[in-house]
Amino acid sequence: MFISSRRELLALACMMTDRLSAGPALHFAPKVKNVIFCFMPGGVSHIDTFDPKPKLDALNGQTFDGFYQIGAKKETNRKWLKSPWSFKQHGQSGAWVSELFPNVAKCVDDLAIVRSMVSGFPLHPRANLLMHTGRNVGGYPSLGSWINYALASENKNLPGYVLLHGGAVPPGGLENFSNGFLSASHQAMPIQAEGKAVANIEPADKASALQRAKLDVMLEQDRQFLSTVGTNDAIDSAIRNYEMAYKMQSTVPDVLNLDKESEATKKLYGLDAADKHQRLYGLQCMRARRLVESGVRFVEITCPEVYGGNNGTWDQHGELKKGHEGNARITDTGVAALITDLKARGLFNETLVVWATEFGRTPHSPIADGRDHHETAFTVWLAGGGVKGGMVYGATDDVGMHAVENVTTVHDLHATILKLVGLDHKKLIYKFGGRDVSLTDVHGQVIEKILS
Amino acid sequence: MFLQLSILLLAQSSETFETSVRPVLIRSCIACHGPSQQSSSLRLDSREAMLKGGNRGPALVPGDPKSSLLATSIRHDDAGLKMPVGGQRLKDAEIAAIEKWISAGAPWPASDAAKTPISSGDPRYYPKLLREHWAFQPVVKPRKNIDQIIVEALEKVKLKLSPSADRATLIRRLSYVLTGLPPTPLEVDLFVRDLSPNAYERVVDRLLASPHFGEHWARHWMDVMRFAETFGNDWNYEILGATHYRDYLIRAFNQDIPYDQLIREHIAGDLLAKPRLNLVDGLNESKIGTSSFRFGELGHDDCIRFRQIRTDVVDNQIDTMGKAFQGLTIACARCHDHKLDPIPTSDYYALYGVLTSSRMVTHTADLPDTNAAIKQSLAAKKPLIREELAKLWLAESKAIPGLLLAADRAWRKLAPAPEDASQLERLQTLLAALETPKPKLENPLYPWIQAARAKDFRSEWQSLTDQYSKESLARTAFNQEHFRPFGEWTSQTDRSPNGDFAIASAGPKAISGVFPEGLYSHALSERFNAALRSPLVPKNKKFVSIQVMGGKLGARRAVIDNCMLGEDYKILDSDTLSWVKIPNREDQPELPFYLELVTKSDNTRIPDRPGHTKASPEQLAAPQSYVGLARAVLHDIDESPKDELRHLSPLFAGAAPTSLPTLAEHYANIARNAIRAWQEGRATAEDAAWLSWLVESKLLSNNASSIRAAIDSYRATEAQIASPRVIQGLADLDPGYNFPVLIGGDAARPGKVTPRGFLSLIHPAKQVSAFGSGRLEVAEAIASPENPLTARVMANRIWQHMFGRGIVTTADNLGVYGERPSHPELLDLLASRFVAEGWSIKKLIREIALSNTFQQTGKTVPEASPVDPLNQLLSHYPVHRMEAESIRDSLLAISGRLDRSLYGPSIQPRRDEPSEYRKLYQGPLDGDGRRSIYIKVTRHEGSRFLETFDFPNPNIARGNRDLSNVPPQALALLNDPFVLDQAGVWAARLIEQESPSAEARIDNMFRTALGRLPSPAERERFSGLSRELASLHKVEASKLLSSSAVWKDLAHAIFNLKELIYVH
Repeated sequence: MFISSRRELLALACMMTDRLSAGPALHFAPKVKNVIFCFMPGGVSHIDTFDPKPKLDALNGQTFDGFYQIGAKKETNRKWLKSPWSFKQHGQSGAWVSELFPNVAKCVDDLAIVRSMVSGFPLHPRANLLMHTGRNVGGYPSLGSWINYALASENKNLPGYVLLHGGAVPPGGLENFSNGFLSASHQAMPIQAEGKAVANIEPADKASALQRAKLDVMLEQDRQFLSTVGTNDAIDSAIRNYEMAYKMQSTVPDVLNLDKESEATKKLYGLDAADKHQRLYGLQCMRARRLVESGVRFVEITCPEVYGGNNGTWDQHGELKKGHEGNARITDTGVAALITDLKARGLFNETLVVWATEFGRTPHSPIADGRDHHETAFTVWLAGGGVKGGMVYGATDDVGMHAVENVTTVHDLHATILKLVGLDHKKLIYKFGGRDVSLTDVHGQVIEKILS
Repeated sequence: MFLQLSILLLAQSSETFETSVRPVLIRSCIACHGPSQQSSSLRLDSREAMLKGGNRGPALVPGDPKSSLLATSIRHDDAGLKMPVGGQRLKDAEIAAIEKWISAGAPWPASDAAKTPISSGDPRYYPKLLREHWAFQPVVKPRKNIDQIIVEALEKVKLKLSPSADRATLIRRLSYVLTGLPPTPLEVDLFVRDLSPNAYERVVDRLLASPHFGEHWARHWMDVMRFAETFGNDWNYEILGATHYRDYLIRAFNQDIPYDQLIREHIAGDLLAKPRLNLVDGLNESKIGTSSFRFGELGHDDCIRFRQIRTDVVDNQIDTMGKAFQGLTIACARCHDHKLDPIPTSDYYALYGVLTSSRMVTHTADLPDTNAAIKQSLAAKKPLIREELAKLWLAESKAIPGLLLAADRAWRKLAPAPEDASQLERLQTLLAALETPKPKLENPLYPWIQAARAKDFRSEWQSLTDQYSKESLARTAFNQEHFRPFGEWTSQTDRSPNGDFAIASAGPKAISGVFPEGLYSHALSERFNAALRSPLVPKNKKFVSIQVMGGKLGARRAVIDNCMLGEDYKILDSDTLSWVKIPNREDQPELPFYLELVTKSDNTRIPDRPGHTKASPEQLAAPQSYVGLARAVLHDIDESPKDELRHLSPLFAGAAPTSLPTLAEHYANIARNAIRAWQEGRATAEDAAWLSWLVESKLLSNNASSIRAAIDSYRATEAQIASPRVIQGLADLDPGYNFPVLIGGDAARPGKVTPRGFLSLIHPAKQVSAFGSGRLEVAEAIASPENPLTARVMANRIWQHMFGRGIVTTADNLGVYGERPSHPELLDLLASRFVAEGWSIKKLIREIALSNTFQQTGKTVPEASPVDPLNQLLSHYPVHRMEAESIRDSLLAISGRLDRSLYGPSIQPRRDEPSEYRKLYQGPLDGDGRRSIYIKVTRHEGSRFLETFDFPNPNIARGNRDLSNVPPQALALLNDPFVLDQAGVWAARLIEQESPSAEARIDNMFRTALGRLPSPAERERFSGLSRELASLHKVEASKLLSSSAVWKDLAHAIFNLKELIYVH
């Protein structure tokens, strides 16, 4: 009832106000300025990380007789599977974290752990798209694009939305980070961990005098063209874009340049780790901090594809132990360092860190060392300004099959993130293809209880 | 919200009502009894609604407050009905005011009915819209021309049209608008110097006739059709044949195929009584149109647990069709009646039924007579081979008894091996058969083996005779009892009679088998493609069994709910027939289910994803593939039909053999009879079975040198067969079925079944015919001149592509939520001219291009900016940035790298990180010089350069692109390797051409890039830059003209000029 009423209100509002759609503007006093979205593609097992299920120890090896189906046919021969990792309580809050994340465990008093997440489809591309764009089909703007659309970058010489990736694009493709139907300026600028960090940012003219000489003539010529046309805002701003582009050629490399970072900080992020992927992930985490420090609104960090066989590195249908341990090792230092570092620099209260995955993994399996996709329960956590640290929100049943308490949807998570940056998910709309489109569609409720 | 409403209404209504009644209603009642909620089905936001009342009856009896529930409920007279629910009782004064108002007859301001936005749910809403919304009214042709309409509107604000642009500007504008490419310097010169009065008209006609016109305008339409070449999702399967659709569009726009015809082809091209045949290219063009339904995302579509995926596929089809042809957001009615346009949910599911009643299939776009001559030649050669083989076999049949007996002796280890190699091979084959531990009863050798092993031949033969007689009857009876034939399968393959055979496509074997009656795609050649499709499997049977063969990536598929990438699919790998039993999908009684046998080219899953259907690149590329179907039956019993023994009855007929030698003669006689029957074209299924066995067991040869020449000649003819052009499309093979409304759009909550049909707003009572999907009727309803939307939508698109902005700026939405037309008369003029001129796109473009409005200069008019800052009235030509493709194509054209050839396979875009797993392959930096329309549209990741300039996402119909203006565009033109590469190509060409001076070269560059000569100041500006660049590159003045570094930089600077990327 609520849903249809809101739609009608919107529809009516638009008819009444001569079809003006709500434009970008702050709806609330923002708690944070920036968001860092640590995305763990492939599906992190909730019951092996933040949601311990002692009952599985007892059930281990017994036949699972529930319904499970991913392919065309129902699967049989599945057994309950306990977690191969032990859990401990940490911090003053006493939140449980498994031994997979020793460093993040030290930060639990800063985390609001949401154990009751649910997703739509247990299929990577659709679940990834849902987590990023609020839709399980392509073509819609991503969370970062929406925030960038609404708030714009704080720094004119940097894009508002940056994707720090390790070379692999999660299933669903670049769609996950796309501007959809919003302007192209709201798409993520990808920065690679290794090699040439950003496309087209390195000046083609090696000598700056060369580029300057060309730019000066171009500018003169363009101004003349503009004068022959008269006044034209588009041409005018296209001309101005060259100055901004010129500056971005140096500001982007500057913000990625770690020369001024202390050795201690580098160590904190694990840049001295023996494992290359751990180093590169740490590097991306450090860059994330530098980017938000420089005013980038939304930074997403994805994982390198080391274990998952192309469907996201956490996708352990087999070799659960090896894969989850490897992924945890690669990411644990960097993520924990991010929180520690943000706090040390006084940025924690103006930054929101979200740790998320597209779905959880089954507490039952056809094999002894693997788990399958599980959309009816998984865990995410939030930390930073406006978030209650040291709390566990929601719960799954005693085997981790279903979220049963404070069931939280991806739309709820999005609504909460938007609220923290000062946006009302019901008001952040864009008129496209004959309707008012929003990130959360007709869904979503802010998870008020995890907000401070 | 309601505050606004009340303010709006307050101004013009009777005072009591407005001051004392309406505010109370709004504050205390409307939230639950208004447009958003209708608790107890009651609304209190109009007098009519109050009179109509809700579940408890009327809320209002004018003049009688005591009988009006509205009054009694707020007075809390009745304990069972105290309003407002959960709130405080209204103030006495408020209650009194309402009672007084009711006593006075409950007068409601008359103006309200017109002013109140009646929202959906109100029965008056849709009729009101149909009466009032501009786009639903018939097109009325004004008695004015384009310029008159524009000038009239301008004059109202004391503006006028601007003078015509200069010729160089005009030809450049025209070239970009019509072909998306810059004019050549020669074209500019010819036009500038042409003093004839119709010079401009002739340029328009020349450009309309340019083959590049079709490329440019096809791409516009591809945006609307969300054209893509891969399906996205996990594996990004190829959309086979997508490029045929692209080429179809290019041809169609170039040939100016009437738009109503294109509509029919897009929606029902497979069903047209007179399809449009392209005799030059040998294509059924009409069929290709239906590809347009197939460009949506796809993946995991067969997982019935996720019904929503399939409904999303259809939703995307409805959405695209609605926006493209009708400018309506029909898909908004998926979950509830459309809130703004008169489209009830039942309309949505009426269309859903239409689309889901059509199968998503592959079509061969080739005309039936493609390869006809070759087919004829093959068909003529085959009987000769048959004759040669028959003669050879008849001769060989004399040796059959000897061979059988020799094999028997060998089996008894009584005789030394023969020395003749071919004899030896034959014997070994027979011996191996004899040594088979448990031969099957249906194997002709079984009686021989039993008889040979018996101590007493005669009694054994007698018992075999009894056994076969009994078993044969039993099997026949069993088969008759449990199986019934499974309908007529659809295919383009001719039905083979008993005894038909296939010539082996390669190797020493002459033939690959002799078949019983059935459908064999390789009966003439393995190079012919095929898709054999069953009718829908009836739900009252538990199994289907099919007797099939296939090879070279031929496959069988079970298709549930039209799922194209389904997992229920097996590659066939056998050139003999065998039964396959397929359980019916009883778990999904309401979903259509059918079977399909497809050759490689008709298999949507080939090339398959990693780990499935392992095939080498050679196997994938090979032109051969085949499938064959002898029989299909339905049954409930959990086994396939038993092989019948009828073919063995001749063994037991007539006088019984008395010994092995007489039995051997018996075999030979049967063989001879079979060969003769075959030779004379009267073979039975039994004869075919014998011939198959005889060849297989090498009693008859299949590699004789005497027929080599005939086989080679046959194969040489086969090699000339043109590869099939296969597209994804729709087909009506079934009776069609009506779909239930899905409540809230939820696939798990089916509601009332809705008859198939089109939008009730266009066709109030029209339903489609009972058989088939009804697509043809839908196509006709859209392509009708009476349809008020169709011509307006397309005329608006055409205007938009010529001016950079439509008369209606929301090109895909002419509904209530869309923008109003800036010039309604103009839109009606264009729409009616469009229809009157036979829906000719070119004629409409020509008419617009010839208007003074189009030819105005692009210079802004100072007087206009205060009254018309956005230039909606067109006091000058709207200068706008080019689309991505034109920018890229221009760089190629200017550098000289442009390959102007049309059509062909797509070129992969350049990528930073190719991924084989996701079928994102690497492409050449310059795209092989091809126009951007030929750059492959790969989901997940497209061309970065094009996307930077707003190349659209291919998931949703997109009739108006953004023309954004962002720094990454500057960065792309400054630093993208493609741009630098083209600057280098241009510089090299310039240096090769030799110029007398830097100035002369700069003149040349301006003419090539900007279609004009530089002014003296510009010439000096750029020659100054050339000198500065020379000094920066440390190039001596004498070497300036041959310095590639300098000219590459200069070329690069010109590539970055705004003038180059703006249509002005």
